[in-house]
Amino acid sequence: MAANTTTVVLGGGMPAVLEVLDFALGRRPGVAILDWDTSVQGTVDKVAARSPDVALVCADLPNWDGIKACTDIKRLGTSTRVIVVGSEGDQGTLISAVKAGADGYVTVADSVDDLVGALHQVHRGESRVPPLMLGSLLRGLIELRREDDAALERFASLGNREREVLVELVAGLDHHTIANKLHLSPHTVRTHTQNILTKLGVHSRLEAARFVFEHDLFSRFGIGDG
Amino acid sequence: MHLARNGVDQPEGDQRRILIVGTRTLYLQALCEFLGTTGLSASLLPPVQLRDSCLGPSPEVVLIDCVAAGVALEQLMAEIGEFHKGALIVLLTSDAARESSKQAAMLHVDGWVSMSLPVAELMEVLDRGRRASAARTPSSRRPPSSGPAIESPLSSLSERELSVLRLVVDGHSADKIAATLGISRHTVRTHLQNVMAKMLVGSRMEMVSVARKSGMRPAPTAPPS
Repeated sequence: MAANTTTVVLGGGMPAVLEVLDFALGRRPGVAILDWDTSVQGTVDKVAARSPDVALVCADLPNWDGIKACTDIKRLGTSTRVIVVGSEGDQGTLISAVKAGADGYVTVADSVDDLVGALHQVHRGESRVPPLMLGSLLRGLIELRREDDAALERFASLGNREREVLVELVAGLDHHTIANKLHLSPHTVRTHTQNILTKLGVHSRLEAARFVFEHDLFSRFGIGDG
Repeated sequence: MHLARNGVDQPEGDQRRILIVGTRTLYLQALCEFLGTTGLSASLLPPVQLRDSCLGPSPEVVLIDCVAAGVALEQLMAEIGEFHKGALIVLLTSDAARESSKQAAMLHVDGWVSMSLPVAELMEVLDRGRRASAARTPSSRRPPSSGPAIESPLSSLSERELSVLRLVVDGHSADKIAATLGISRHTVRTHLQNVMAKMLVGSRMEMVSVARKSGMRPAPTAPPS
């Protein structure tokens, strides 16, 4: 295969969409479609097996999680770059795609030749975001970053004992079990729990758990499972 | 293989023309290019430019992408009816479910094809519809009772269910239907429940409305059974 050819694996929930994309991209010089699949797992498997330059995943089709496909492909740890196709002006999908590690974003309102340009672009190692969406993407990411900083700050305000209790809470233990495990009285555990909820700015233990996972707090602070 | 450039300005012999209307350029353009190799002449138009298409020769089939952002489908239908009288109007949907057929009926279109089909099946459905459309006189609006060329909300009904539905559309009560068809009232009710489930409607009124919109008209005589 010529050195300047970009090899591609396609993934998306609709056979007709993939077949016509396969056809339209395949007839353009410099692009070679290696394979396509209509399931997330199938797409990830084919990317793992074929090691294409670029994986193109649709994130605008029903019954199909293109963001998950992107995440899973990136987790393979191979050099395959990922382009996500999303709806026009769909800021949420763009941010999810960037968070999932996407190297490029193309909207369905773009032309086939735009897509070909994007394929070559990310193959060369560049990133590709529709220029009109770049501003709001940056604002969105900065906003996310701010929220994340605030979360870290709140978490850092917990005392050592409170952190220990939080770990057990998130693991799903009740007050009595936590009390036994940490050699505290159940009453003390209750007090710690109240303080934790207040400091994290959440209203329930369930919300506290979500807060921890959302910001990936335990692994970032090197707190293990026990 | 025939690789004509897609465009309105390519009328060539008996080339069959399909006009695709939608904003998902990436998919629809790819679809156009694909159709172009099968001897069809397909062109793509954003909904806002529909007016421009009346300059070219009228298409046999107008394929409307359901995800036609920016323009209400109802308005689009009205414009297509105005500019392309006699064209077969087909919805391009994203699911194979009955929801699509209901939407198709509500919009008075001739049928629908789904992007969730393999493209060969999609082509087959289009071709079936196209042949049915060629048999019609181009200037007259399609007679809705000429039978569904493509998938219609009624296509999943059995003969018996259709008979019952026709009588409901005629305005008969369950008792009258039972007497007419020589079956028990209970059986009529079962048929009606099945019809409602298949047509994805919640009431008899809605059932009649959808049936009429897909072309069913009160019959002058009792249907054969």
